[in-house]
Formats: sequence, C-alpha cells, structure tokens
Amino acid sequence: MSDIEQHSVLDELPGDLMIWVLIVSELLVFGAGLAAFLSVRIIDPALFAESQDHLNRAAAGANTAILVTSGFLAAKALRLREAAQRAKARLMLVIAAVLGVAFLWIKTIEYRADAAAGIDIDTNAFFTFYYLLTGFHAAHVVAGILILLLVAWRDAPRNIEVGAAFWHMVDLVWVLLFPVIYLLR
Amino acid sequence: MLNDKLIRAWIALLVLSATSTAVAIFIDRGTTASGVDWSPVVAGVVILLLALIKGRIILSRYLGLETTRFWRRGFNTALTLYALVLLGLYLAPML
Repeated sequence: MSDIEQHSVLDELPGDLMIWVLIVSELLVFGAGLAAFLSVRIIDPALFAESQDHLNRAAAGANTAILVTSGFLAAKALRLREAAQRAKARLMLVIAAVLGVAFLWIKTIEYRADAAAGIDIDTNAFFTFYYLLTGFHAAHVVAGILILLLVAWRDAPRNIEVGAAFWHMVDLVWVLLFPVIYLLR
Repeated sequence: MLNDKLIRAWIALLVLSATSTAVAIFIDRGTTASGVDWSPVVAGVVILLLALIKGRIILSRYLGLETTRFWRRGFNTALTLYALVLLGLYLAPML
C-alpha cells in the first residue's frame, strides 16, 4: 500500500488518530482481562456461578442503562456544538457527567453491600477479577467525568469529539464487561 | 424523533441491555420461571450475541464509524472474533 493510500485510510477515521490508539489499547487491556476471567472460570465454574449470585444484576443493569444514556448525551453534545448550539451542548455534557457520577454512586452501593457480606478482593478468584476489572473501569469513569467537564468548559468541537470518544470507549468496555461478569452463568 | 439514528441507537442499546439482563435473571441454571427448559449454552450465546450487537452499535453510531466502511468492517470483525473467543471460553467447561 502506498503512503498516499495509507494516509487516506487513516483520514477516514472520525476524530483524532490518537484517541483511536487509546481506544484500541484500552479494549485490548480489558479484553485480555475478560478472557483471563473466563479462562480461570474453566477450572471451577461452580465457584464462579455461586460467587456471581452475590452480585446485584439489577443494579448493574441499571448502571448499563445510565452509561448508554450518558453516551447518547455525549454524542448529542457533539452534534449540537457542530450546529453552533454551545449552551445546549455544554448542558448535555454536564448531564452526561452527572450520569457518570450516578454510575459511580450505584457502584459504591454494590461495593458496600459486598463488603458488608464479608466479600473482598481476596475472597476467591472470581472476586479478585471482579474488583480488578470493575475497579479499573470505575477509574476510567472518574477520568471520563473529569474529561466531559473539561470539554464542556473548553468546548471547541474537536475537544468535545475527543472527550466524547473517550466516554464512548468507557461505555463500550462496560457493555462487554457487564455480560461476562454479571450475566454469564 | 425516531428518524434520528442516534436516538434509535440509544433506544436499541436500552432494549438490548434490558433483554440481556432479563435473560440472565429469569434463567436460573437452565430453567425459567415458566418451567421452560433453557440451556445455559443457549443463554450464554444469546447474552454474548446481544453484547456483540451493542458493541457494534456503539462503534457505529456513538463513535461514528458508520461513515467509514473500512474501519467499521475492521472493528466489527475484530469484535466478532473476540466474542467468539469469549463464547469458546464460556462453553469450555461444558465440553
């Protein structure tokens, strides 16, 4: 492939190339983690099923709805900003960030319930993966909230596009993480 | 409003998420509340298939890959292959 052809293909990517490098990197990291989780499950599927019963599927389902709605608002914000509707775009980004906080609040309730039941990261292999994967994802949610607020403040269309893309990556990771950890028995 | 692709994508994601949660909640070790026998294999395939569809929607509509056939196909192929790997690992203990 010639340099010109390579350049044209990369140009087709929406937004900044580096955000796509980050998205692919994060997907690989979480993807490896989820594959490792299911690999370890092969040794003792009964333990994993029993451990999974301690999780709150309804709360995780609600969190999924919250995150995909937040992602929708972030995508909508970019459209509004491109249509020069800055105030509405900023409002959408702030609401998206607030929904991110709601996600973390529900996650904290889940963690507290687990702790009250005497469950921690050392309980068994299932919960080691559970805390590592969901905790690492929650850290990304925190970063995403800050990024959404930052691009709401510095609201150039390019900034919003990159910030929203990061948030969609967080969303994408969750829609893979949620079924594997919470739903697959 | 429903002509808006973004809104349709959001609604689809909500419906698919609710469906996958319902499948997991109502299928308890192969049996539904109605007594119909649901194989965990079928449940696993359905849940992973719904996750794959959700992932493709996010890539296409939220992240904007709908505008580029090359990258959309590439990401969708990689995501589909990964979902098959997860399915294989999920089914491995049953073999």
